[in-house]
Amino acid sequence: MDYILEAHDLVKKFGELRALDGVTIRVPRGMVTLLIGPNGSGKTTFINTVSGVYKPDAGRVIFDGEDITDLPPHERFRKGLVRSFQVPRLFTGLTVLENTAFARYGNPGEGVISGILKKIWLGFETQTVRKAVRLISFTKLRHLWDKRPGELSGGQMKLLEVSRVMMPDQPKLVLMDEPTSGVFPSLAHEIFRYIRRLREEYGMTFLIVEHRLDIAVEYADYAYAMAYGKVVAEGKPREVLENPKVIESYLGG
Amino acid sequence: MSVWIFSDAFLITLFSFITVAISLNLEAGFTGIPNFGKHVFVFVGAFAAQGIGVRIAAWIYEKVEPQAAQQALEHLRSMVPGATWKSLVGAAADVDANRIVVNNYLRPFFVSHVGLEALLVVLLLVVTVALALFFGLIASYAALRLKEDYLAILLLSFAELMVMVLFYQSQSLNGGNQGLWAITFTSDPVKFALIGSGALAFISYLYAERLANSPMGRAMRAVRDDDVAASVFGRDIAVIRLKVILVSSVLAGLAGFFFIQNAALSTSMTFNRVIWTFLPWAMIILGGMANNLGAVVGAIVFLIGKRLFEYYQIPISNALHLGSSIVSALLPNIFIGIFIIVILYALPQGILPEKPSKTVKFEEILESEQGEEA
Repeated sequence: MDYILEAHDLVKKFGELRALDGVTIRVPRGMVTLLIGPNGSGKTTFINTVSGVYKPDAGRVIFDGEDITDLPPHERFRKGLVRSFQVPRLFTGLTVLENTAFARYGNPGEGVISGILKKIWLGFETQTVRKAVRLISFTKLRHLWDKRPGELSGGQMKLLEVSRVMMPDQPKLVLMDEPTSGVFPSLAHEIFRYIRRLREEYGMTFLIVEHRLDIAVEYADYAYAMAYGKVVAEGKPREVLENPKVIESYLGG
Repeated sequence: MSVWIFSDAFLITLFSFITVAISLNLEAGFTGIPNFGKHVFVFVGAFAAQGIGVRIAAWIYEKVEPQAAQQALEHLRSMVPGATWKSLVGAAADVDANRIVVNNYLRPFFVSHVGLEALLVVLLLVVTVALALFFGLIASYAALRLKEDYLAILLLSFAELMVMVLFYQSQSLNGGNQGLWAITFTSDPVKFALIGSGALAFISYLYAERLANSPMGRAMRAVRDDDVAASVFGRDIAVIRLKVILVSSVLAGLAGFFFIQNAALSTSMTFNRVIWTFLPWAMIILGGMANNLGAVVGAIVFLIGKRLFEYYQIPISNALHLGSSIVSALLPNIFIGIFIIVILYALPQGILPEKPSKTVKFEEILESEQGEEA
């Protein structure tokens, strides 16, 4: 199979705790892959390590055939690796629309000289704002476009985080850390349908950390389950869910 | 007492502070770079007109009028026994001869050679920009590697080391603790300073306003709010910080260059931390962080307030029975400190709060894009 992301034997220690204890996860290209597991099993640490927020203590990260283990986060993004945060890390001084628009990279107006030359960036910026408006319409935040994150509810913040991660141009892989927690079920389904559509129409690849397995499972192609910093099962989503080790890890956790 | 508010000296000070406040706001208010070493970046402009400016001016004078320069040198040697300088360039930056060289030879010479004077102005502006970029690079080397609190302390220490130690203790650079006369321009340097600092303040404001309402303004605010999230979305935060520091340093340096045209004789301590760092900070906190007009309003309110306070300092000091104690002398500084605390408590957002970056007409796009779920 063709893999967009291959993490080999990742180890990440926090003091004595091995948050990732030799994790090997391969994300197949053009599919929606789930990463499940109880709290503290290392899912978010895995996302943070893959996206470059953490440096692994051992192991390699191969993205689209290239070793990116030592690259800073912004260079990973530029290679097509986009991520969202479990606890939304929104720009508190920026409005909903600005938060979303910023997530598109490559604006020629982001310079201290080009910034004051409107001609250079007006076209790109107009496109960007249009796309941002469409996305916040989809996530039902349109009426809040000029509000700052501090004025949003927890669920709305999650939706803004989802809008942001949908903003970049043609990402090769989108890592989503619990995109639907705190979001009401009908909208959660809609978000997953949208993800599905992006996968089908544009061949986009997703790796999604999710707690709400009831909803997520029907939209995913493949699944990994983690417990205590290790991968305990992988395969078709429903099979993984029924795997005794996975059930035990949830109950025993 | 209403006269001093509109005096040339006050206006030059005001214009210079407006530029410095705008420049600091770009760094601190928009980008979250806690520059507590702002004073050294203003000082570089003064250095360009003093230690460097007089040397370059003397060098030009020597080249154009070698005989007159030779005579001047001999005259100076007779006046300063034991002088070691071998040329007018050396004498120009020597505390014993600087005043005579600048006022008796260089200024009359350049005032009567308008073309050369214009050339010198341009040259020294280039020197100011180059120095500002150099100091900005040093500062950003640290800014790209340190967290906010450490960076603030480091920049303050760096500026203090430059202004209080290097440039104040070493007489050869900028006259040390005796200071130097700056090379000033035109037959009316005060008017030159007034027009220069006023134009600079105006241009700085226009520039900062355009930048704030561009994609760059948005990116700066994003980096300030969450640098990890900004880098996860592909931004090289080091590059964004570097650009902002460089452009802010240039603005501050130019402000110092025009300011010194009026102050003329001064030491590096004229650019001390209280006046050229803490005061601009107080101005942007009062006016509103990440709001350019706020920086301007803050500068105006603060300087007028400070002047009024200084005017009534003696009556206030007497009313508080402070006599001639050190507390009395430090009243203005104490006032600044108390004022900052009061604003932070009563007006945490400042007079004018932060605004979104108006890159395009959002309302029009909202109108035309109905979106799939709307």
